[in-house]
Amino acid sequence: MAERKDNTEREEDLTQEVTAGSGAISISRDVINTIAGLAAAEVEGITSPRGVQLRKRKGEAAKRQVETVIEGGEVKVAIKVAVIYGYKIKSVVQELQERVKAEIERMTGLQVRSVDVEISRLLFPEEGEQTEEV
Amino acid sequence: MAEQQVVLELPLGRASVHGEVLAATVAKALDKVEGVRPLRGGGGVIAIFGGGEESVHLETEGEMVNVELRIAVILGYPVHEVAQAVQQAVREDLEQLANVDVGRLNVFVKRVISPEDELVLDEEEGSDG
Repeated sequence: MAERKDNTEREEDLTQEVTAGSGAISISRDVINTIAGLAAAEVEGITSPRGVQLRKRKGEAAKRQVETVIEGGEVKVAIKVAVIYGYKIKSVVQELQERVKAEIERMTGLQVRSVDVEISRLLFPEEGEQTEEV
Repeated sequence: MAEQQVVLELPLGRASVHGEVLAATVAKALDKVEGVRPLRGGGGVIAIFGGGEESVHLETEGEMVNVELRIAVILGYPVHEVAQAVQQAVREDLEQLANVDVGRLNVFVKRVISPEDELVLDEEEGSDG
């Protein structure tokens, strides 16, 4: 699944926005992933499923948890996170969805149709940062 | 076997909560109840952190989850009261934290353990770090 990106044609990774007359603007999917990952990292109660606080490894790590599909000019985002124990999953997730949507729309001008969130772990604060780090 | 998960449909997209997350929530809820220990498998009793999940069995149906719990009660505590407290704590945490509806919540008290055994367990827990 990780290799999938390499084979598909380059357009897969780009969203093209044709602006009248002045040329085309394309934004790489990578950019969207990074924006989404960083926005997610700002939500209190959310961390990366690998147990490392997302914000501690900006960009690179954050975007790995994000998958983006662009369909007809609209963006669908799927993001994988862990929630810290004690936070209400639903409200934390809703905040994440709103932030990710707002950030992508603000920074790329693309419309976000949905932000699907997968909560794959619960992280206990006392486990600290060592959890599954290696 | 398909991965157990609960899917919440939210306005901006869906949130899927893995069974592992729910199981961890349950194990943690047990922690709040006095006089109880989760039971791993059929035999040995084991610490709450990390190892607790095996004693938790979850079945998800849409946004609803059925729970089966295997616990050991520490000798001296009234078993049925402990079991009821467990049911309540687990239900509360699942509904409040994970926002899932809890259907059946069965608690099997499989064993009683003596307070001395419990001390041994506590030591093991400590040395595990």
